Amino acid sequence: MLFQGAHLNNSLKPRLWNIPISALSSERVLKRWQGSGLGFVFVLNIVGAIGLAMYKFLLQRLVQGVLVMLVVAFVAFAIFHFLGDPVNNMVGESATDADREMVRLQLGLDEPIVVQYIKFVGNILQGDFGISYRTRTSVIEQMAARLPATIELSLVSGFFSILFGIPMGIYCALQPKSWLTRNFLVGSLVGISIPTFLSGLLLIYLFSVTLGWLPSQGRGGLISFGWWDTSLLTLKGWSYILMPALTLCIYQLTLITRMVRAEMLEVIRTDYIKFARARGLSNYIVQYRHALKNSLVPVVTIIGLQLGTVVAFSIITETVFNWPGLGQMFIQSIEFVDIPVMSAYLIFVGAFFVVLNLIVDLIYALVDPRLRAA
Amino acid sequence: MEHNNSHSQGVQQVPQMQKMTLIRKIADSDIFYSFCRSPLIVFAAVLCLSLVLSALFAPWLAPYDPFDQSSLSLWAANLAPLSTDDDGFFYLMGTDNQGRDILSAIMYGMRTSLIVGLAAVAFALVLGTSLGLVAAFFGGWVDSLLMRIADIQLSFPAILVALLIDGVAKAVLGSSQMESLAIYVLILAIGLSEWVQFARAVRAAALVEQRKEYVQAARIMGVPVPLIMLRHILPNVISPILVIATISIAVAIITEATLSFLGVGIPQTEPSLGTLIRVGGNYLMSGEWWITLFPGLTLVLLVLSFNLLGDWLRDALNPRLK
Amino acid sequence: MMNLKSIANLSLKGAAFGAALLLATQIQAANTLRWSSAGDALTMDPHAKNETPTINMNRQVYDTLIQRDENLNMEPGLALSWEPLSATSWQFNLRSGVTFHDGSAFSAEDVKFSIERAQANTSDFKAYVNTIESVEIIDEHTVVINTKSPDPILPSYLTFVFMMDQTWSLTHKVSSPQDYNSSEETYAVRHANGTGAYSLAEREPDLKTVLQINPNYWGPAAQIETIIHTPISSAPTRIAALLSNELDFVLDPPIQDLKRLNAQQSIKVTSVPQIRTIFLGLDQGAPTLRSNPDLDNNPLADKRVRKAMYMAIDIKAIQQKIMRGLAEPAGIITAPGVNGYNKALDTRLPFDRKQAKELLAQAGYPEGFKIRLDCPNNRYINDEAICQAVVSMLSKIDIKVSLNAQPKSIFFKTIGNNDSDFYLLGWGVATLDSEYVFRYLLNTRSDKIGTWNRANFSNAEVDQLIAKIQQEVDLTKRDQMIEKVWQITKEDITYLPLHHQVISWAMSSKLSLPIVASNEPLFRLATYKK
Repeated sequence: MLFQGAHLNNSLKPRLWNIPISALSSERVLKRWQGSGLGFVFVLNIVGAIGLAMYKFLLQRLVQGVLVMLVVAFVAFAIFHFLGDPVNNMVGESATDADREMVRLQLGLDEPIVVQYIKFVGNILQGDFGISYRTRTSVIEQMAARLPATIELSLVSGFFSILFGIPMGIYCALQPKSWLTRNFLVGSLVGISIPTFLSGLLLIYLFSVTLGWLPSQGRGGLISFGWWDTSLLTLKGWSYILMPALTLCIYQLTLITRMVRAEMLEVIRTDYIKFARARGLSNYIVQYRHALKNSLVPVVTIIGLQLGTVVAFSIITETVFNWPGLGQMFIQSIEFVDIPVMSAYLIFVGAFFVVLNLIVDLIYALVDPRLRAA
Repeated sequence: MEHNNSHSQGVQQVPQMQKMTLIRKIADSDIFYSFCRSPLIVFAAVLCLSLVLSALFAPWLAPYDPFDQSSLSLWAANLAPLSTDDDGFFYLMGTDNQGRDILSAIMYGMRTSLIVGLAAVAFALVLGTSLGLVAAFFGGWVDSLLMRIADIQLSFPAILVALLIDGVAKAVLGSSQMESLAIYVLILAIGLSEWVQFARAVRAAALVEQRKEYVQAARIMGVPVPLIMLRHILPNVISPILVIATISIAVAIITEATLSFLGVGIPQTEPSLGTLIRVGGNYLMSGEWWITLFPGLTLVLLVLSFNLLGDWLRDALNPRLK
Repeated sequence: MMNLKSIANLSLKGAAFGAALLLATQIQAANTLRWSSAGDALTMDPHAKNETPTINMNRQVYDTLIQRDENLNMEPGLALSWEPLSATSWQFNLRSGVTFHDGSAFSAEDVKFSIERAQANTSDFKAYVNTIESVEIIDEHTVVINTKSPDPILPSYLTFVFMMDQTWSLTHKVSSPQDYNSSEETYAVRHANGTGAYSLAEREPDLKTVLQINPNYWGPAAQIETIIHTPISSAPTRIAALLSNELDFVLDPPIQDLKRLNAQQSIKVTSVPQIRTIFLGLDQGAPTLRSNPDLDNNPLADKRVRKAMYMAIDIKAIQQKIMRGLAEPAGIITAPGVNGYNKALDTRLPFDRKQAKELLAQAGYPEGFKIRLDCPNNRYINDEAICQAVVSMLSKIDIKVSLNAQPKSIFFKTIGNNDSDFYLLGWGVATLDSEYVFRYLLNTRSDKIGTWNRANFSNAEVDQLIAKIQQEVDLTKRDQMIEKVWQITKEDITYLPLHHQVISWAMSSKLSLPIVASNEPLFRLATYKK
């Protein structure tokens, strides 16, 4: 019941259905922090203020995070053994039953699942994710080769949703009765009502096949920095990322527009904005200096947290646009029952979210006075 | 008005009066006012209602039975919209690659999609609400356990959770039983991926109510806990639940379509909208656009109407935005 | 600070940016061939994976002693000539002056090494070399291969045994194919050193493979300098890439798209019957049906039932509507071009629903019965659609079929576990000899032979004939026995053949690339029109 206060504030305010409430709570906390006027000084004080309770709390969360990872790994590991028999995919059609049995023995698939799982976790703890059943290449290398594609797609998509979402949200809050506001709000709803796989195909059909403006698939215009290949430094690279990123950003765009609008509407109603107006400050200063600034901090936090969701959503976008990222790798590995790759992906996603949640918890802890002083 | 009924029928008078006042109440309410004022919402409601009704009455309204294998003729496959086959059957929206009438397939497919969507949300609602109430009332380790589970689950996107649950079900049931049980598994998978929203909203509201003196008083008077929950707390959380539910239906329908698109959803012999779009997608480049476009359009309209209604409800029920 | 004006500015900039992107459409590099297929080669180790896409890629880089030309006729590869010395030994005279991509010379040592490597426990090509007893090196350019028993189709098998460099393999510790037990990637998975017309320049599994022309190739010089393969799993995306000129060649265009592709001026489509036959399997050996516990016997054991199911299938409709004409209705599970095929055998029972109903009634099932059809949904051309059509056709003679369509990984597990009464399967004939069909599909099932005989068909005469066919060196006698086996299985209606698959390739109309029935493109024969 650590954050009861935060939840209480939320309770009667069902504004946004799709924001994780944990995120909302942090938003609330952040706002309190902003509103209290402590602001920057507060941050400076934090480092010195970490108390015993805080360590205990963080340790507790860390242990929980590890437990979550173990559960995720086990679930991943157990179900993949029933998705199909990898052995049939691994040997050719001319193989005899004896050959199959041999491969099964070599992979240790005859051992009880619990034993296999313990070995699997043991190997991972030693940094050994094994090799793919399908391509016989190192899983970690395979993931490293695909990570930049997914990260860049998520970032660009996030960037687009901010670029369009924040101005749209501001406009909707400031001009609630304008026809453009209605179009923004309804249009974004139409956007999230079209499934990604359908909008992706339609975009390809329009911009690649019919108009021939943009490449339909893949990733091009790459420039390498060590193991990281980026497509963001060339115009050609952007021509590849444009359609997948737009498809992927629609959901976040809708979310951000609505969030900014709601935050702005609320901040505008608060006393200190009213007071600022009463003081005779111009509309411009009131709206942008005060209202916008106070609305943006929580929004930006949540956008950061939502990056994780984008990574998972990219499974479908990557498949449609043949974007060589982790999501595409995951779908391919499901088809082949490539257990090491599937497990590694799920563990990656799990770890990603656990880390994001830890960061949220950390922020909580830093701003919750009950946790600071020992 | 209440004098319309003769006094001898006084027994029936009371419910009648209540009914009248209820309608009255609705007609006078802010919500109804805001509903009537927005032609878009009226349109969304009409659209939603007509889609749901045409799905509900598909067996009577649809021109053909797309599930009746013995009535299908492969020779009538891939006909364009508005065409007639050799046996004189007319197809308004054309036929798919098995000779199935697209219009009928859409009506039946929407039925499947709606059943999955509604059932999954109902499941999530009941589960989430009960767990939320339990967490709020018992507090302590029950509360932390439930909220931790919710945290963990929230950290995984619904589509991944549903994929995992689907995988577990396949593992437990074996592939051959999966076919007949696929729809229940989907309901379970989507429902389990959405309960957290409900649980959190209900828990938070319940925590507020619980502090209030009348609840404390009821507790002291020895009113059983479940009764307090149902009588006093539940009514206070209906509006957030309503909003979450409406939007969740839209999310559930899209999730089902996406899962079917990834090939882990409803089997092709009794297709949902998502399955129809997946199969039809293979024909998009070849010029047989009607196989995927009509089901796609229906899905978008269906989801959009729920989203519009939910979005409007959220604003209409939010006292701060008035 | 943003205001509305700056927002408007931003969107203007966005539009300008979009316009600039129009210039970004691809310009095709001279003499490069960009191609795609749904899946990638799984490994570059030439003995690790017996699977068509993998063999495809390896064949550009590695050579075999004997190879097949675009018409699938055998021609000298790394062996200039070969002749039987006795019933159980063959002499191969090797080409001289051949070098591997790294410059080292190809010799008899490498042949012995490669064949033994293909025989290793971890090899997936054992079936092609398991009759070989030993490889003797006579001199630098001559080897003798001794077999355990007479093996008339050894040359045909050797078209699948790629030749590696012994020194290179030893240096990089890849003297045997990847061991599934090891948790490390071996060098040969991403690197290759062959004698082929192309060398491996870049390999990122599942993402990109780049081949460069081999200037020292022993055969006629290839014309295309660079070959880039990108796997694209989504078919509409693959076709969109071809239509928008991002690709020059697509190996596996969906058949429904061919008409549209053909209508494009910049694209042409070529088709050829493939050596693969699609058929339905019926388990006649099981005592009862697994998918119908209500029946206390197995209706499929009754030949009349099998015949009724055969005659209920409207193969013309499947060919026209599902396969869009790109399939040849089949009477036996082997395609033209395979030894033992003849037109007279490849005839079907007529489609006759009325007679089918009568046959069912005679067999004691006037009301039909329930059964489950197991079907892959990502293995053969339109596999799931074919199964759906079969379900609908059989329901018209009151056999109520439930369809269980699954990805191949699960489907093959079902088949492998002998868990299916009724299934759809395709069979390709790698050796181009009927024996390859008999050995896997018709011989009584045991550990070593008859592994895909899930019809659980068992016929002593057929087993004896197969044993003789495997050792008969007199080709006329052998062909007679092959025909006999085909007649027995046709008479028995062991399987319900559907059609021979036809493969189609779609490519830029500037590209000339002969289509091959084995579905293996020979890029060394490709040219661009000027």
